[in-house]
Amino acid sequence: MKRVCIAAAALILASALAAETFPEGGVEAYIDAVDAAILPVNCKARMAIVDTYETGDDRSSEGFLIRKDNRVVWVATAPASQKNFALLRDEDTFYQRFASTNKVVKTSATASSRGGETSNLDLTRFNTNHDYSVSYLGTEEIAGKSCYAFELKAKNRKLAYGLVKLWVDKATRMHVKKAFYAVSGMMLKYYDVTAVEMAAGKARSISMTYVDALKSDETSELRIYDITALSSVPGQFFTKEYLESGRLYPYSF
Amino acid sequence: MKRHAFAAAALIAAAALCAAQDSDAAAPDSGAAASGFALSGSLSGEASYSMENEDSVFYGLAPFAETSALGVIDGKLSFSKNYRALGLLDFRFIDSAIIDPEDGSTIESPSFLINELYADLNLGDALFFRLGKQRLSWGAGYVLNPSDPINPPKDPTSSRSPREGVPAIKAELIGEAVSLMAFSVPHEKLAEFGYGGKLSTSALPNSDIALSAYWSPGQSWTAALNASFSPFYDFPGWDTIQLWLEGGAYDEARYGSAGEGANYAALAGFSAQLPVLRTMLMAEYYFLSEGLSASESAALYRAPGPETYALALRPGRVAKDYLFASIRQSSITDSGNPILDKIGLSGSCLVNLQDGSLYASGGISLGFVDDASIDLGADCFAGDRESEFGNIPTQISLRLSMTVFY
Repeated sequence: MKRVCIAAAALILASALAAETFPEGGVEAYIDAVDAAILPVNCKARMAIVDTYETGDDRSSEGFLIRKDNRVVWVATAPASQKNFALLRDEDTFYQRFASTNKVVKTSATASSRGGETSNLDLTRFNTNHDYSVSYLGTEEIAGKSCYAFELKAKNRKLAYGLVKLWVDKATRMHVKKAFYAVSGMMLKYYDVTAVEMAAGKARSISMTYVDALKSDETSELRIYDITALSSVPGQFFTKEYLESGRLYPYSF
Repeated sequence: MKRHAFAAAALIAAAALCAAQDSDAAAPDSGAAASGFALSGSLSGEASYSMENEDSVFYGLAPFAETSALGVIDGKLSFSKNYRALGLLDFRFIDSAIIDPEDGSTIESPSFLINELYADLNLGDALFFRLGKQRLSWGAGYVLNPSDPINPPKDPTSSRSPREGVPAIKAELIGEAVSLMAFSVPHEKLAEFGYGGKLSTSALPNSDIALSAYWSPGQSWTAALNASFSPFYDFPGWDTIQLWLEGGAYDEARYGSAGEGANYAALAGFSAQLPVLRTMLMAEYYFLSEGLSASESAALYRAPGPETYALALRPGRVAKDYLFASIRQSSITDSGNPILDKIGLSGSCLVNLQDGSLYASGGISLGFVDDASIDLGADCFAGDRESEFGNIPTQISLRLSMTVFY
């Protein structure tokens, strides 16, 4: 019994020490800064996705997104058959608008409305602290870069992955790798950041490759580019009614 | 014609308003778009063959068996001026040619339909005005919208029926928790103008609820409720399950002529996507208080008259209650398989629960070329001589179509 108590105390102490030893202050604030460096809280950006399968077949799509904190609307611009398809994330609720009609229905975070390796959540998850409880694990070298490693635990069951590990480049505060795990601890997929274009400490574009951990030949190349901060974005953009009305999201790209 | 003229006049007036706006002041910030047009849509060609229903009471009244070809251009031309003013032209051009079974000649009939033509102004990102021909977005139901007093009713047996709007002026106050819509639908006389409103909210967790009402001195009143729920939205794997209810009360028979005085209609629906397989399942049940019982419709089919012929023009809106079910697989696999990833399947069925007759439809879609598809489809009506779908003039229709998206 004594040994168990000592072990438990040691564990608590170790985890407390680990949290305290994060060298750049509060973990949560740091993660917010990392998120903002990639995609500002109010912004617009374009997105291109190429899904490649183990058969060699591939499929591509393009779109743009508008973000207001934890609310995101993603609108497809290609292929032509998917033009005007839209995905809306309003906090933890997801809606989709069909390409051919203005009908808007609720969809789930875990579904992949556009197909491929990227779920609805992957396309709209830009606020890490909102979705996950983050803890610092230590430093690691990934792809030749000195990184901070973090463990992310989902705050609610709507999220696609219960456990995520994130590696952030110490020098640039950019993601280097992110791995997604099932509840059982098995890795389901990960992404490697393959290219980042920076301007004034902020990302102008970022490219990442999602890999299915169970089928490594199945990948999704996701590129977010023309990232532009906006001074304000109307909250109405992120309502079901706005999406249903068939109004455009008239930002130039 | 008058309505088209109204829509065109409305568009011109609204475009003038747009042009009068100060473009720089209108932009919310540097991200706002400049003026511009965007065009999207599809071109399709279709060949179809229909077999006549020899058991129908309509048999012999016209040559219902036909071989026809159809060319359709669907388009949406949108216009945006800076940020505050938008316009949309949604149109359908159809050129159909029916081959005369007797002499092989073709009877061609082109048509052009404007589904929507409107201008839209945004005041302060909260208040939106729309003027012109427009679909007033309404109703959770897929095959029928009992709460919709305005838009032309859907035909549950035709997936290709146009989604035509009505001339209207609409003001919409969109809030982040509650939205309010008010609209007016013009008629030939000012005293007959219709007025309506809708209050909608998504504030309750996992639900979308709307209350609406419409009144026109020359037509009818309608009071309606729409509610959709995702009861297991917090549980991954079960979060695609959705339920919806739609109900409307109105004072004149809307779908037929049987109901006198106040009537009501209600619809309940369910949809879900099967995990892993990605198969979409949907079912809807609807009830029409003005609908006919099996014995009432059988009496009409036994002694055909003008009322009987009217029944054939509104399939799925004759009886008191119906059940609709559909299954759809957008692609058999989604794993990079060069064949199965390109093949989609769909099937649906509408059953008249009063007389047991049914309409069934099935289709296969082939998408081997980017931005194009080939679709094969079949429709079938079945039932006895005194039933609704047993008396649809065409018994089986086969379709082959090719569509190119742009």
